[in-house]
Amino acid sequence: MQTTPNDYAIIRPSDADGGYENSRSDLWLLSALPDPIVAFDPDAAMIVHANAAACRLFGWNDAAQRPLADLVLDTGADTLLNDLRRASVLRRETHVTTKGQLFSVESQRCGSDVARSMIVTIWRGGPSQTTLTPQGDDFVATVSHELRTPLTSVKGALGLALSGAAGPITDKTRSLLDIAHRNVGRLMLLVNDILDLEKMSSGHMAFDMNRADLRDTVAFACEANSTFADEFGVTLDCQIPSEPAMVIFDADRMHQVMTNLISNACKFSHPDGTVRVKLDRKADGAFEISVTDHGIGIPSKAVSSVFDRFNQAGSVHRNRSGSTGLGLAIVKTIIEEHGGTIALSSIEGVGTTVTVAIAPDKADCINRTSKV
Amino acid sequence: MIKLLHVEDDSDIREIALLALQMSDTFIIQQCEDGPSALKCAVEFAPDVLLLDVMMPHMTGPELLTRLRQEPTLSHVPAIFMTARVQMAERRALMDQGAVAVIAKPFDPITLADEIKLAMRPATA
Ligand SMILES: Nc1ncnc2c1ncn2[C@@H]1O[C@H](COP(=O)(O)OP(=O)(O)OP(=O)(O)O)[C@@H](O)[C@H]1O
Ligand SMILES: [Mg+2]
Repeated sequence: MQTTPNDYAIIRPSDADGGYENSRSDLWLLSALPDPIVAFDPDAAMIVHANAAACRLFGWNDAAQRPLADLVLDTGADTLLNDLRRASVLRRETHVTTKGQLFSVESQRCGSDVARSMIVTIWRGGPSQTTLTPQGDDFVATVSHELRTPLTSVKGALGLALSGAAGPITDKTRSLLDIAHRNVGRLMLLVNDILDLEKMSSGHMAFDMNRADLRDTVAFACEANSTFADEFGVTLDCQIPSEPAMVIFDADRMHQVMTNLISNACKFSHPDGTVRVKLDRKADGAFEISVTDHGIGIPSKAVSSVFDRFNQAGSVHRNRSGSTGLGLAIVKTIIEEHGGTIALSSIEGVGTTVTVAIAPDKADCINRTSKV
Repeated sequence: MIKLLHVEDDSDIREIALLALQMSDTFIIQQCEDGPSALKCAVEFAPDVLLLDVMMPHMTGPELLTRLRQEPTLSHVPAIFMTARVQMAERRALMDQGAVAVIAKPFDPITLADEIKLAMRPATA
């Protein structure tokens, strides 16, 4: 195949300091690909590269260093921009339409050094693949509706029967209804968790990222879970610093994270135990939330798999119902969506500490991106 | 007594909501299985509050609300959506539609009546 100088010119290293320097053959390869490819610098909220197909699609004659606003989409812009904004290593897929054509856009962060990394998007679909449909959203919404509707009736019917609304019930009947009621609740949790995971892994979970004080979320989570702790005879010791902890995060999702970590710590504590929830700032500026218990711990050979789905680390719950073994898998996904890290250390018979680290709101670039 | 119009396509859920609301002795309840039939009876029934499922065949809850709001006598009736657990963004979108509350499914039949009365308060005050 012949290349012309034009092919090289269409995509060119845009960064004067050579941050994204590519070899000529790499560039040729990119521009020869039939699918549009657009690379973004998430920190600068700029488009840094576009291959020939992308230039054709968007009508650009020069791809270097464009603002995000040049990416004109009919639908799906919010989700795509959300994906671009997130400092995630995960690969995600979004559906957008532009110029009346439907595209499936796959975004992936490239480069190991987060500071210099970029997000590359590959656009598939367009004129030739008209059968492509944005099924992801629909699928989750449909499954969620189909599963929850019968569960709503079952749970409601049992709840009403138990309340005596339909007349008196014998003790034996009550204990049977209790079992059914408890287990339908458990099924509900499972359905919610599975749908959460599905939404997150397919990129359909909308994160509502805002700049806020992490102290409020941590304190609120302790308060909200104190009744649960009481049930296990556990005391929550919430240690919050006096300095604000400003971070860009989704408060609901972070509450979900805290609830899971605190509930785990309580479930696996001994009665009269204490669970310490601590927020503080590390030397590198990141905020760290740790949840420490002095409970049964996790066998060393099981520690590495606690973040897997449906893993229950072989431990004996003090309250088995209401557990799906999906909690930590969801927690890990949420934290990674926030560009944070999570670690668990545990000694069997001594206790467990889970530590979450989240970078502070260092750049306003995220706000800039969101305004596009 | 509070006149409540309940629109829900699932007959089992309709029955449970009916039983739950009858326990409190404060509601006169009219139930419809979809948007079109609700549009037919709403004006005559003149409800004090609307309880609408979101995902329904023929017409979604929000679509139904838009149509009901076009009736002068129904333009200010407080509306409550009932839906499977929603994300914050979806909940906000429903509230932006002019709902006074969004009740998550599965709802608690024991507290349903109180939740509705609580949600109606700012609108009736
Ligand atoms: N603080 C802890 N102490 C001891 N074991 C723990 C602790 N936290 C988690 N584990 C182990 O890891 C497993 C997975 O935890 P995860 O939160 O994912 O699920 P779960 O608590 O069993 O269920 P779910 O959170 O979905 O209701 C638990 O079942 C338990 O075996
Ligand atoms: Mg858990």
